[in-house]
Amino acid sequence: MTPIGICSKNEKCLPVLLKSIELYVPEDVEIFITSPSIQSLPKHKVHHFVHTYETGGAAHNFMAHKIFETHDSFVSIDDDVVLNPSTYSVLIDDVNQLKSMGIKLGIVAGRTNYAKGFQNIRTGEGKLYSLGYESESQIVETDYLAGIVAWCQKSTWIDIAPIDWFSDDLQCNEFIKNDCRLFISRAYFHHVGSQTFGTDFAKCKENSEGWLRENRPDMHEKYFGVSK
Amino acid sequence: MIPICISTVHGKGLPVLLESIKQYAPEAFVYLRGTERVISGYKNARLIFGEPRNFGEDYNEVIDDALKYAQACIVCNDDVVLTPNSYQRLLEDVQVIRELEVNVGWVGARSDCARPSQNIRYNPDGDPLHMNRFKSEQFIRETDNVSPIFAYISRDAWHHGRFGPLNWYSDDVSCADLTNQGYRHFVSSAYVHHVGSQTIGDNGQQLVAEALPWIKENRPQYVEHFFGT
Repeated sequence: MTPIGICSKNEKCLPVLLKSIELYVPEDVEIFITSPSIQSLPKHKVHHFVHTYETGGAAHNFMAHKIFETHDSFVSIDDDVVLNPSTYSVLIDDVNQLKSMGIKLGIVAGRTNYAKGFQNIRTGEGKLYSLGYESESQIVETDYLAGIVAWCQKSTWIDIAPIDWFSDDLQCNEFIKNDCRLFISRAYFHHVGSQTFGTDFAKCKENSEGWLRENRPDMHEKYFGVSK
Repeated sequence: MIPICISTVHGKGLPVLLESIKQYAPEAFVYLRGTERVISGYKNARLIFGEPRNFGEDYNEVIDDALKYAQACIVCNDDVVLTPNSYQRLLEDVQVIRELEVNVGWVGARSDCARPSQNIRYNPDGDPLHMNRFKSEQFIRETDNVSPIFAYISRDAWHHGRFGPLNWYSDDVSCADLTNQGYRHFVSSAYVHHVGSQTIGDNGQQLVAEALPWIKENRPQYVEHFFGT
């Protein structure tokens, strides 16, 4: 079974996520967690690592490499997510469907209530039925994904930049450069959002600027305009 | 503090809901109705044991009980998950509304699985997305109908808007009864996650057919409005 990896800095929303995993994820799925305090689940095997990282990017890289020591792929889940009964199974079904088509996959991520771009259910297409858009029942290819709930694999993995904001943009950009394709799954999950970095979005953006200017001037220009 | 009233049939999503209440609204007392087999393990809640009948009758029982002691309550479906500010935001909005309107009926949270007026996909003003949301989501909006997925009701209003013994349309009947008594309903800026269709399913045709006889007999004046016939 494909394991789950979770990185949590403040553990604020972690208990609710873990409760949804306890209820909705098969018991033979191993759970890898980095967080400040020891976490456990009654039925799942949990591998816990104490969090000592400055940025989400560094924590996720540590987690990914730990998991890749024993597994070829994993589902990365942000700590302020709540799974639906079908989130995990639909995501894995969609990955298997895409793999069976011989597609070189970068990441496959779920839809949600709080994300930018086409992952956000507000941006659906087709008829808006009373409970959702027609397009929410389709797998869609995209050029950008936020890895809030995302399947990734060892063979195409690209380390995340050691920044918070824009780290997912950079990773997607690298996937595409490597001819890996990105897909939005039919899987749906709830995302509280902005629980780790806060809602001071200008500050979040500013915090990543120095690293981008120094290490990725091409991307700095894209997100901040002309390099200072 | 305003209590939260929950009725459950099989308790499938209940542990996640109760964990979210524990984390984000620990001050809220919970009234929980369900069979002894499903709910007897839950602590820190007033448990009301009973076999499932239908949404309306089951919720009437638990709300009636809560409103013996409280001036108002929040009706909450068992497949809801609160966000860190759902409970507080809903009650703050109720305060704002009550300062402007005497006859407050239902005040319901927005959700990812709800009728259009409460659904976050609904964008009547054509707002662009700003920081992953529509601007209109931060405002309270008056509406004709509220689904009590996570919704406030006062004791006074409740006595005019108890549910009929129905699954579908129990909320429509309550809203219409209240409107006829001069009450007004609102959509709050509070948000909850709603899994949806976990108890009574999503076979709309069957659920409509089940509701129709009771409404024809007991609220014939609503038949045309609800069913267009």
